[in-house]
Amino acid sequence: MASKRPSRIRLLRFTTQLTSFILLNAALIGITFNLVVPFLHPFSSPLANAGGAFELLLKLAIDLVIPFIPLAVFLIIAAIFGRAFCGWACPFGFVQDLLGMIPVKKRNPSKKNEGRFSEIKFFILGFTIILTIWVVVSKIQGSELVVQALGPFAESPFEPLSPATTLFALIPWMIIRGTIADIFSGNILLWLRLGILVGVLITVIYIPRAWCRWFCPAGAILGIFSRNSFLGIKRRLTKCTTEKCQMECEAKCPMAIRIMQEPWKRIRHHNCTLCLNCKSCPEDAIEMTAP
Amino acid sequence: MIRPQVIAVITLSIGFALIAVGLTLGQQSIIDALMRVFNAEILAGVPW
Repeated sequence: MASKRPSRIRLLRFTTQLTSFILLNAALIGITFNLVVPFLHPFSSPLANAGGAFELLLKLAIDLVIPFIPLAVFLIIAAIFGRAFCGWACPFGFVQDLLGMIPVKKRNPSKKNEGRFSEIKFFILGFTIILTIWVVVSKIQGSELVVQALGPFAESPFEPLSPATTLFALIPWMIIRGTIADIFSGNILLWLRLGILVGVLITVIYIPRAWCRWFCPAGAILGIFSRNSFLGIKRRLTKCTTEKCQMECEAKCPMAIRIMQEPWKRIRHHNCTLCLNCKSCPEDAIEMTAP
Repeated sequence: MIRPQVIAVITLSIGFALIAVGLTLGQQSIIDALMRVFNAEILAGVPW
């Protein structure tokens, strides 16, 4: 029983991710619906049917519009589903999962370092917000100095370095416009963007979902509000006997969450994407919970 | 101590209130326009 369910769940998750990936990038074939989604997805992509709430939040703020809808999307989705959309619908997460299927020896940092690295995303989020506020204040004051000094970062403080934007917007636009040769033009920002993308894509081959675990600012926002979400997972103490298992749940968790050290009533880790890989527990001790 | 469900309900309520305000102010049309305008800007040659 317990051995069949995880593979069914994995197949269901893969199908959901693939469907989401196709639908959110179907603008090029004429399917359009401008959604606001709670994960990274560049609205500047020629393929995009949807805009990431984080990118839109920053862009609207910089255009001096209070970003009610992007904020609302984060709050509503996080309160109900937690970070489930990261695990089940995010196209960049799907790309990472696909690369993670490459059969090489997976590596994970020590528990202490994992905790430290996990906090990087909150620093990226904080830095991006500070940069946005700086641009907004200078625009309100009518000063052009900050905007000129920040260049493309004044238009959108996170997107110029986001690997999701590079993959889903920059590269498709370069192909469409026939400007692939710009790679050799010595543009430092372009090299930096491509370098970050390649670095992230190589890293996730060895470290599953490294971008989501350590760097994603949209994941950081969802993580903050998902601690009290309606949907979650718990460990049934009557079935969870460490003597009988090899901590299969922790071994299978792509987000490297120390499930056994989380409260059994409810796993509240900010990185849990409800991927349900932990349901591979041979004792079937992990189950979904909702209030 | 506040129960997690209460926090979730409060978060959800704030979210729906923000959605209502955003839709009332016509923000979805701003977002729609933003997607189109941004694409047009890039086509016109915003520096990478």
